[in-house]
Amino acid sequence: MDTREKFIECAHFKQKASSVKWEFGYWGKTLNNWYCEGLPLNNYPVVPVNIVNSTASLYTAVWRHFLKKDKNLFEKMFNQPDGVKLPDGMPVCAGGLYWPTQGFAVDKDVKNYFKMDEVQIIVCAEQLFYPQFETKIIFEDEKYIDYIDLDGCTRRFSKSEQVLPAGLDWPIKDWKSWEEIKSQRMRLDNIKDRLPANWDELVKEYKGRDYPLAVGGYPNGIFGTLTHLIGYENLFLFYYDHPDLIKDILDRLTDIWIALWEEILVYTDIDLCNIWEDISSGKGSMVSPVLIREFMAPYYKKISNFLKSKKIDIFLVDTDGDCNELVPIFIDAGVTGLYPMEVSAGMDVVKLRKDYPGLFIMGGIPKLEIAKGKERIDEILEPVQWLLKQGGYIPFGDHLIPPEVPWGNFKYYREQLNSMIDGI
Amino acid sequence: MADFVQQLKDIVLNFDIDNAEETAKDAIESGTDPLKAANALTEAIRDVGERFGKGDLFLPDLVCASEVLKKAFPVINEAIQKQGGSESSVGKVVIGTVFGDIHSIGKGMVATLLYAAGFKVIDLGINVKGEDFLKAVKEENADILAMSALLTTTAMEQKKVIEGLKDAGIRDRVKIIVGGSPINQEFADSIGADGYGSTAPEGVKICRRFMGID
Repeated sequence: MDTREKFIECAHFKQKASSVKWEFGYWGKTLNNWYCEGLPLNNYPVVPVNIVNSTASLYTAVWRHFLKKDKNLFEKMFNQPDGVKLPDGMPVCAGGLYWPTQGFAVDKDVKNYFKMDEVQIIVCAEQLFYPQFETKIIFEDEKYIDYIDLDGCTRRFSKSEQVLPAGLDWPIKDWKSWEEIKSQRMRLDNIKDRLPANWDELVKEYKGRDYPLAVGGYPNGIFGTLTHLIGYENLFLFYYDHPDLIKDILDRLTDIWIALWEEILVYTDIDLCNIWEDISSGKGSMVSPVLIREFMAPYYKKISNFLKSKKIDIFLVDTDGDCNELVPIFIDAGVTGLYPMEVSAGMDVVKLRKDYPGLFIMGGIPKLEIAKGKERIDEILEPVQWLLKQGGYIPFGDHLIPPEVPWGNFKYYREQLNSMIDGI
Repeated sequence: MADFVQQLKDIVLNFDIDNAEETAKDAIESGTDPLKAANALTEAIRDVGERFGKGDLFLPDLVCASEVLKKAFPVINEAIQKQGGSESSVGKVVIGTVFGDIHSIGKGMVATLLYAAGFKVIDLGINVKGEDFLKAVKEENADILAMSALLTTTAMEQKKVIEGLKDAGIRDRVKIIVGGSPINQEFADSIGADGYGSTAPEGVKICRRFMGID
């Protein structure tokens, strides 16, 4: 079976099916370390510099700026004359985290070393604004770059840190700014224009694919997208001050998604829908279940009803942190699976499997524990055998594998895990 | 006569940002004792803080209640000062997110909960330069300096501020608490902070301990 077939079988709890060999991803520093510790270097991760759409943006405008501005500076900064050094603070996708997303790189060398599965792919189409905002660098000094991104958000990139850029200003401030965006960039009469120029070529590739193909992905979420367009604190105020505005934005956003996905389905089938939220911190949900039921659940139901009507029955939510209290709300709203199940935040995949036998789960292996050696790795992998036998589970580290994990430890962990998956 | 004390409590508990300033003005104009009005706001935000700490309220609730205070409190405070009085507090805290860091949610949560716990809070905002922290500590004669950082690189700014306090000879006049996702107890110890709070409610507990409460 290829990756796509295995993934679909696994998501449907076909117990005879082998699970999928994925990781969520790695930090750039982790891979840079591993290359020095024994990971064979064949395909150094490529940092994307071409702006495609808002799903693949966030970082991309900055790298593009570096390249355009001064290639020598770029080389100096990353000390890599023949290419771009993978920034330590940049995530690298590895299957559990779909690609493209947020301008992150994608791994090939770890995947090939362990004969892991193909990375899931998000359909290439503009799911947020069309036309997009024009990206523009508005400030730069030795430490920072401030820029307007495709989604109209002004972000600050730290040259030394190179982690996810932080929002400084957001495009929706009130009804007026929203009405302007809605009439100019969220129209329902130009949906087809959201498909890229090379769509025919992509469709051919999608038709012969051996990987799962998804719609949605970052920054598409019922909470997540709003944080990008309004900002966290403003959004929290809007829930109380402008509930009608929030609902109007979500009405149009989900109308756009559904219309676009319907258009995509004319050309190719899709396997799943991924929604990005990151609504929980390590201490639980940022937003109360009451607000979630009012401002999120109806839109989840709208999406799941559409997906069901198209016979797409894998509907996943990517949300970090402790989301225990949200699981029943998500399930009730039509979500079929969740990831990456951060153990350090209080997620327990064995308990979740017992409490919600029909929930598809990905992740749930405490990533930092892998750094503690073989004995500890054996302990954390102990429940995996049972979970795999239940079906509906893809085991991997509960977020990006951090640089504290040495290559030798990861190698032992992944070999053990792969043999468990192969043994089912 | 309307019960403005109760109304002031209600605007906080109901997160009524729209009517916050107006209610405060009406309360003062109708002759409500400004100190009683201030106590009403404090009691209500304390209630919100406690319920947030227990997990009964969530971030949007805390942000909105804090916004109500921002609108209502200046009106009450002005009235207190006109009377020649001063607001009582258990201690004075200068708080901010360090230079180079623009994250505000965690810092805002701590500031609101400190206020709820009876502290006078001087919130310097985000991206605060070291010299501004020093100036505020000196001028306000602060009991506590609270610094937040969300990035590993900006975390080192906390150390710079502490060094600056030492150089200015005022390090021993103020207790220092640090927080933020890359910070842990080990880091706090290594830069010479007096305390570290992994959550906003824990940060408040430590500040209370600094003041000899609990």
